[in-house]
Amino acid sequence: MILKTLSLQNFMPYKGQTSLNFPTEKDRNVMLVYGDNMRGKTSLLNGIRWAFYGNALGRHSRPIPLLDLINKEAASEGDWSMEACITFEADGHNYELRRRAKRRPLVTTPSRSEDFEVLRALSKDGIPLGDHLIDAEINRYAPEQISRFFLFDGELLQEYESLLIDGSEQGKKIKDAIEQVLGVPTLIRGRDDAQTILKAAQKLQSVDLQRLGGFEIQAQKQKTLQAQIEALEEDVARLNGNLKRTKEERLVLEDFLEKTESVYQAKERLNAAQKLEQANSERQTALSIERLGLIKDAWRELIRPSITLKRNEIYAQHDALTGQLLDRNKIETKISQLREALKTDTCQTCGQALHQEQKDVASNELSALENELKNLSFDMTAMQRLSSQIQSLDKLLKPSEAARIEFIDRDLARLRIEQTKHDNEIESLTDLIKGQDTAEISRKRNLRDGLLKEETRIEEDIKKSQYAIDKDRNDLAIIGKALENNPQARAARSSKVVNISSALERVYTRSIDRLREDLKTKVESLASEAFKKLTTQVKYSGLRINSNYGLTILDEHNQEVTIRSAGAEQIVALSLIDGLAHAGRSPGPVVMDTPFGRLDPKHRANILTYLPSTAQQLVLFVHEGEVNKTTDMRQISQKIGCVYEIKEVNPRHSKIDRVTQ
Amino acid sequence: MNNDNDLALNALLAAAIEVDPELDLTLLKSSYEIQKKHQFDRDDYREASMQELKNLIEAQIDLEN
Repeated sequence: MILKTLSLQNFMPYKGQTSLNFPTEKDRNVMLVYGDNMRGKTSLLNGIRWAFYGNALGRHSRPIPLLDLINKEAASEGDWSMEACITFEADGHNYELRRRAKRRPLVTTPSRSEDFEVLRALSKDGIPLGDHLIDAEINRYAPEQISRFFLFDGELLQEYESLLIDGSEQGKKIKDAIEQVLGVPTLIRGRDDAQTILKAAQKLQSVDLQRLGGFEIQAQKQKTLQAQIEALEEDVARLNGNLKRTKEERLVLEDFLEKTESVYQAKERLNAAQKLEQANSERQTALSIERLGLIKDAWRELIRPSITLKRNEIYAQHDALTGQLLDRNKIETKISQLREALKTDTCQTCGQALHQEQKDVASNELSALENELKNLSFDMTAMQRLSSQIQSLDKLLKPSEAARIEFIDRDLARLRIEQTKHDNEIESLTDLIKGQDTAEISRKRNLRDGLLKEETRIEEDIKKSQYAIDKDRNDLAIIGKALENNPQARAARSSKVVNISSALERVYTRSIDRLREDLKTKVESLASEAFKKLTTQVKYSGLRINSNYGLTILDEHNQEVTIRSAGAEQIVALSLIDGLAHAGRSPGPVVMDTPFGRLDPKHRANILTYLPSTAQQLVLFVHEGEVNKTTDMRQISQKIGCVYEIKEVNPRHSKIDRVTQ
Repeated sequence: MNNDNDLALNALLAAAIEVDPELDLTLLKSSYEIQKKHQFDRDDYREASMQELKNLIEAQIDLEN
């Protein structure tokens, strides 16, 4: 297929009529369309897509509503019509495919996509084809299922890395698309059709066998198994329907959650900050209460020096009184001893009898001591008073709480600084999520998690039912084999249909696994060839494919390179696409939107040299940030058929000028 | 794309030799052409390829008789 022209009318930013001529010369098959971001490069890709398939894709490959495709400025001026027309040549025939959307009668101002009617027309060599033939004709040359490999958005090249992750949703979608381009569904449909025919034939065979007689047991068994299979297949169909709905519902939620992820994160941080703020506040309250308790006795610190002085003074008085008391006790003891000695005439120390002379001395000493005792006064009341005063003062001078108060003050100061930080964070986060329904986001997150669990459960149920179906089919095949050996049963026409459809079913089933294995080898080899031409790292030896068609780079020792740059990913993805193009479909046009985003000049040079030689037409929508008009283009200047430039008239209106003839 | 390059057809023919060598290869190739023609049909046109395959099988039985 060769693209010839594209005409757009009021399509996205292209207000009024816009036309492009694709290069049709074999030797000058490259077309360049320059345009800054937001000017309408992807809209051109969508223009082609809408002309062919009636849909346009936005971010994450989600369909863009029809209402959003119509040029806003034209609509505001009352022109609610839009058209995309593409002409192409294929197998020697000239085609013109036109798709037009216009406001439905009785609708004044369309507010939803349903307010438009869409008409399409395809002519072949100038002869209009019936609507029922259009899809088949498009599918011959540009089936939608494989369009991602010839109409592709360079920014989505990173999606191909998901093929390396087992079980990823994105990876599964791309794998399905890859298998479409490689023809696997042809065999799957063959198997399914043979299965359907086989099932009907087996039913008929049961009836025929009962009629023939002698095969009642087999016929009954067949009937039971067929009924079981039908019931199980209904289950699987119902479960698949549920799974599809669940996935669709989850993807809508994922989309919403992705858009509101920053709000959710902000809300989570706000919750955390509020918790910290609350804990901080509680700690401050507790410390303040403790401080209040400590501060009520803090006045003692002020009088501690004078109390200490007074206490020392009282201690001195107390000591003096204690001394007096001790002296008095000593005299009293001595008097008591002397009196006892005079009374018993015996020395109280050595126990010997006292002589008269000694008694006189003792008597004199006793008199002297009794006189001394009389002169010694002792104020017991004063002694008690001083003891009491000492006790009171000691209470006032108990160990200080100043250190604890100081610690609390420091802690409180630190907590207040932290609180200010929390308050600022809370304020800015509250501003950030202002007007956003965060409760709804949380609710949808829970809903999404629930749906994920539901999907796993349904998938398990499908597996179980599928296993039971396979077992019943096997049992049916055993009965069929037994009947094959009986000439009477074999002669029945229904048995012949069973035999052929059963053989086809088995052959198709086996061929699917076989094809997948063959394809992996083939795609790996072709993608490796392309990779070696595209990569600038000469030490890489090629690529290794996994069961999902995900590709890993191999180094010079044939070891997998586990970490790769964004640019390397892009090169691997382009190699895969090129490998698929060679393995699965005839050469045709390749339209790439922003394909060089993450590539350095050397990689760009390799791509620009290689791709024009492998594609029938190479159409590149690029911005000046990703290619250098002079240096990058010099090496393919001989290959360039035409160059266009998108120019902004205003934010809602772009136009395209042809730069070269 | 010729038959030599048609990986799906080659896999199908190889599977026939492995699974059921008695299966008529002309019938198998014709069944494959039907599926190839209808590979990208929408789901609501799913019946078409099945009906064509059924007719092919019936014709084959008539031929054998």
